[in-house]
Amino acid sequence: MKGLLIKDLKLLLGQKRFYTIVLGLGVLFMITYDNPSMGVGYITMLLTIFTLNTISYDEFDNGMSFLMTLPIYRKTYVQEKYVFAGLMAVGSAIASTVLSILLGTIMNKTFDVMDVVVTGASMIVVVLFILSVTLPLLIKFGAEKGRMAMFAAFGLIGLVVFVLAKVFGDTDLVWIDAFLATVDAKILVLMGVLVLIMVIFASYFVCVRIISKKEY
Amino acid sequence: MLLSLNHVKKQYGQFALDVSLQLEEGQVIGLIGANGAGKSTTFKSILGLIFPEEGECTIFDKPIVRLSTEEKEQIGVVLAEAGFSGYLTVKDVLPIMEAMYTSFSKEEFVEKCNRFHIPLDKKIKDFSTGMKAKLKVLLALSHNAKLLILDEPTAGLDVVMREEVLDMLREYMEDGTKGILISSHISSDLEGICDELYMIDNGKIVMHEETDVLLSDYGVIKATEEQYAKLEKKYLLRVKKEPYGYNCLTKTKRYYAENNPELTIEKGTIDEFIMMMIRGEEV
Repeated sequence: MKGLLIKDLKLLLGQKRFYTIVLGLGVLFMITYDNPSMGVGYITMLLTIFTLNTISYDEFDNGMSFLMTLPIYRKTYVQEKYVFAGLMAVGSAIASTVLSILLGTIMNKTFDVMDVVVTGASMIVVVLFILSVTLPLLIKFGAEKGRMAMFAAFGLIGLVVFVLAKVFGDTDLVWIDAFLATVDAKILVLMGVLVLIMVIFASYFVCVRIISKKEY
Repeated sequence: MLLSLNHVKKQYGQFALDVSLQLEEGQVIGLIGANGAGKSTTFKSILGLIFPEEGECTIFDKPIVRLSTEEKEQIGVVLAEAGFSGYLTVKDVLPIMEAMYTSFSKEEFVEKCNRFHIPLDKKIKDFSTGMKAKLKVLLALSHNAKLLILDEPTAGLDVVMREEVLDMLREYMEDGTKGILISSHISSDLEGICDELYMIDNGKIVMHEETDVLLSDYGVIKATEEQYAKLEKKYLLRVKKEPYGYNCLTKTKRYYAENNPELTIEKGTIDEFIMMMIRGEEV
């Protein structure tokens, strides 16, 4: 696991020029937007999504077959991707949240610190959710075809949401509004976290199943 | 036993693999065959990259899927068409190897990289074919493995480098407890290092012989039509029609030399034997 984590970190550092620009833009968003959350979301999203890119790098020149001959179990490869994504998400969300609060304070912006913190936390939930849906697809189909499958999957989710909105659009969903009004944002995040943990576990088990049957 | 394959079978459309081979401590065995003969499929089965439909494949007397990571550390691998991601540099690979293999020696490895002119700061994808090949062999040798599984480790190397790599392998074998399975399409590489050779064609092992026997007892008889007609066919392995008559592969060239002094019998090279085994017809 440690070796694989180092590998992905080294792959990330190999792209440091691109990610310096990402960080620069993130800071620019924090400075120019009144609400510093935009920068937090941007940095967290792009850095965590890098986990998906590592699969392309692993696959480069049949690299996956070589990786599988190293002293690791197949499931360790999968575990490492979740750990790496988790570290990236939590690390970049905390760092960018702290940075945006610092910048906001220095520049005397009026903002609610708690709002920024909740945004940071929600970003972790959202980005890890996206990863959990995508990782099994990339591991099953490979980075290239997996990306197509990913677009198809998100397209499908979009379509379902659209159809549901059309069907229920006119109905007064008073109970949802009422429910949301009574629930604190923090509780919502907590519920999100619980759902996320379940999604991550389901996604992990699907990935392990896929990788243990895959031929390289 | 370091490695054992017992009728390992795998089907890909028309292609059917069915391979048996054994490797013991202190032994170097070579797998020769044309492109597409099944060498890589055999290696992939051994390494657990693909799953054979039938047969048994064991390393250190255990099925490969049951090997622990400690046991996998004892295997050094070169794959013909794969290695560490091209987006990494050798400097990036060092801590990865240190984390993965308990007996990896960074200093020794870096020293060898310098000796073989392998750049530490360049991305592997920008390496020349020769540099990539050297790096792969050095990595396989870097962690004191008990078993080396090397698919085409000398491909892309010039003559001098090939000899250097083979010397490293000979040095590796010195203590007598280790073993190597090596494939190459350059049979002279294998001739000088292997104790036994397995020849694979169309997924099957068509010949298995000790290298010494192959070089001392095998020969190619060049016979005219008349000579061929009179020839004892019992000891002929393969026959191939040629413009002047027949080429015949035999395992007992001494017998023919003694009984038919007028015959032209060539010592032959392993490449010729391969050609005869594949293109020739059974008698």
